[in-house]
Amino acid sequence: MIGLCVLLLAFSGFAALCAAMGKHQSALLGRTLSPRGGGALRNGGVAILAAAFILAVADQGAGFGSVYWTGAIMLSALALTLLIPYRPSWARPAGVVAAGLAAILAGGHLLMVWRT
Amino acid sequence: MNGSFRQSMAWLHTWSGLLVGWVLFAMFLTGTASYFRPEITRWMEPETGAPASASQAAVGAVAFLQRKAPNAASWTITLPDERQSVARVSWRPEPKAGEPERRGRGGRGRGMDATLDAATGQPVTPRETRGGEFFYRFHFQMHYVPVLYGRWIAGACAMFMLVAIVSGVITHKRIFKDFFTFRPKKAPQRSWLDAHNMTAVLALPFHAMITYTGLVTLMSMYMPWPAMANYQDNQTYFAAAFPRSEEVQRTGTPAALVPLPQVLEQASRTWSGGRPWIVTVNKPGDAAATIEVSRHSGDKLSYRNGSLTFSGVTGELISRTPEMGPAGKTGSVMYGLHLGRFAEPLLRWMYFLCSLAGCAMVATGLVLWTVKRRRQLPDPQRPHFGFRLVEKLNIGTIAGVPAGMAAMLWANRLLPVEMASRSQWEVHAMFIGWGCMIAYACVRPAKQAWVETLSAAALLVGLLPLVNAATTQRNLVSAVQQGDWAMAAFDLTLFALGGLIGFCAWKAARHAPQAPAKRSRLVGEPA
Amino acid sequence: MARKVTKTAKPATSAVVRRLDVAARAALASVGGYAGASLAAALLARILPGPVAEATTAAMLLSFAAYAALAIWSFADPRLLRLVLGFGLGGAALAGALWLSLQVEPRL
Repeated sequence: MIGLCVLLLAFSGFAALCAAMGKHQSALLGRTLSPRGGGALRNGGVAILAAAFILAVADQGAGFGSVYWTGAIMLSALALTLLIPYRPSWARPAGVVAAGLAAILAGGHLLMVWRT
Repeated sequence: MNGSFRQSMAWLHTWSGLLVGWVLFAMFLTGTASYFRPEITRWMEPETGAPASASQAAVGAVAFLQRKAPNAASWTITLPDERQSVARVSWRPEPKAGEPERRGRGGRGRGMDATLDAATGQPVTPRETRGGEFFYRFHFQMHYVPVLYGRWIAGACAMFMLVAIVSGVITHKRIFKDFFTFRPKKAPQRSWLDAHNMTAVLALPFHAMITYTGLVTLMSMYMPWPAMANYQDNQTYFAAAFPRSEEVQRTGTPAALVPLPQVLEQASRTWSGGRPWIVTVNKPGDAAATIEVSRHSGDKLSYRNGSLTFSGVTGELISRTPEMGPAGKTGSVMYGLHLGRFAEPLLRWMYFLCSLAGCAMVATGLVLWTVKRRRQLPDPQRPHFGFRLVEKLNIGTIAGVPAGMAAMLWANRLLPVEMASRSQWEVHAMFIGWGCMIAYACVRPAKQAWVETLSAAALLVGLLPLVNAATTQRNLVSAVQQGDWAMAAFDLTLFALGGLIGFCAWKAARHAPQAPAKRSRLVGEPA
Repeated sequence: MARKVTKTAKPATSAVVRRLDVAARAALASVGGYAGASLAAALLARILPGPVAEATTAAMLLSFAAYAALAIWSFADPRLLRLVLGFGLGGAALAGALWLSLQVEPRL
């Protein structure tokens, strides 16, 4: 469950990083952001990727966690990059939904852990 | 050299990639398959059952060995894990008077071995096949050449790959700007370059890791000089770096062997829940018997996880292998990362996909070379020899290696079970298939060759589940019914891969050859 | 041979000279790189502190990075003469240091 969460967070983190880049903004967001907005989005993306890392390590330990996180970011970056040329307008909602799902999964997992 | 640093690195990247590209593709693809080595072996041995527990297998194995080789110098039992349905055993006879003891894993391959069903301990005789082991061995020691030469070839290709990675990163000026850039609808050269960049950069951690760790796994062969500088020979280095337990001397007093499951359980407790893997019983039946249990290489990132030695009579712990130092641990972790035995199913699939991306990286690079050079040909109808060679080898290899691997699986199902040397002929099938594809690519014009060879490969791969169903009791439906998810996933993956290759064939068929180079240069080239 | 990097005129080097240049660099990268990395790793294995087996393993692990670096240098450096001197003198220095080390303390 946490594994899936890490994967989803990796995807949404990269979606944010991608949308923060000038050359992809019009395709993903339909408009261009101010430099501050772009910067905020980039920081947000980095923060999400960092959260994914922390989650992976907390769940699987330092060694397995870092390996798993690296795998997650490689594959989610590939998935996003394959999505953009064919369905650019899906990228933003996909990123948001991924983040939302990840939050729900993490929350659910925490609830289950606290119960037991 | 060629101008700027970046330009010379671009040149180096092109040539270090191109010269070994076809061998690299074969290594990458068979390596990718090797992440599912036990599953492929199970698929190729349909006579074996479902995976069973290690302790069950241990009881059966000991019973078998006590019947078969009660006076052996040692027994070796490779216990199954959740991915294998057999235990493999071998034994070493007592040396004749005057002969020295021979250490090692026993009589495997010399008639003193057996495959046992994990659940019952009864010997099973699956059809003679190399199984998934063949793809694994091929990818680092080739075939049809002496093993040592094959390993040198693989090592040389890996060094070329390492240089290609480093030079590629240096020359890719826009590595961050182009991070998410993939434009399949642009001019071919741009699109193929984007595809190559995408598969290379986005999975760069994997590619760099797999290449370097691959070299490390055979480093005592490729780079023995540090050992030769410090020790008289490699063997002394090994004895120092990987100390083995003392040789056991027979006392001559018979004593019953302690039940193995009890020892395995104690081992597991000592390892805080770790799994036993290979069990070596020295001098079974003697009062001095010992049982050496090595820890499963998939328990940690590190591949070598030490072993515990127990008394064979009382079952108490006698000794354990010493902890490795930091360098030893690093090497062991690198080995572990390469093999990925620690990866549980989701991570294993991620390894598989990243490895496929590696195959795509090599393939797109090879195709990019021809796409780029085609536009520079003085006479596109009569390309020079080098271009034609690369083009034919590209088609013959990118379509041929998957086709060949599938052909081996077809042979596994279609060759008669009693046929002599059938396992060798299964392997021949792979190279016959690959060779036919290369030959076919040589006689057809390029575009038709791509479409036809890719279609053939797609069919060979995608129809395998049907061949499976037609020739054995196994099929997708029965696998699901029995809860054999590995075999069900195997068939589904074959369908998916067949579909993927078929998709490539379709795209190739739809490809309209570009206008001749002269016109495009007038119009101008996108950056 | 020193060559200024200009974008205007191609230097008047013939195809033969270019081929020789590439061949020389390829030889340096492949053979010289292996020799250099091996010598450096062997020397490193002897001078690294700690248990001998550990030092040996560490040197082996690092050797491939050294090999790759030497191969890259063979093609990155615009001056072939510098490369030849570098490999030659560097190799000799490493070999000399290794020999000295073996005199001081023989192999196990």
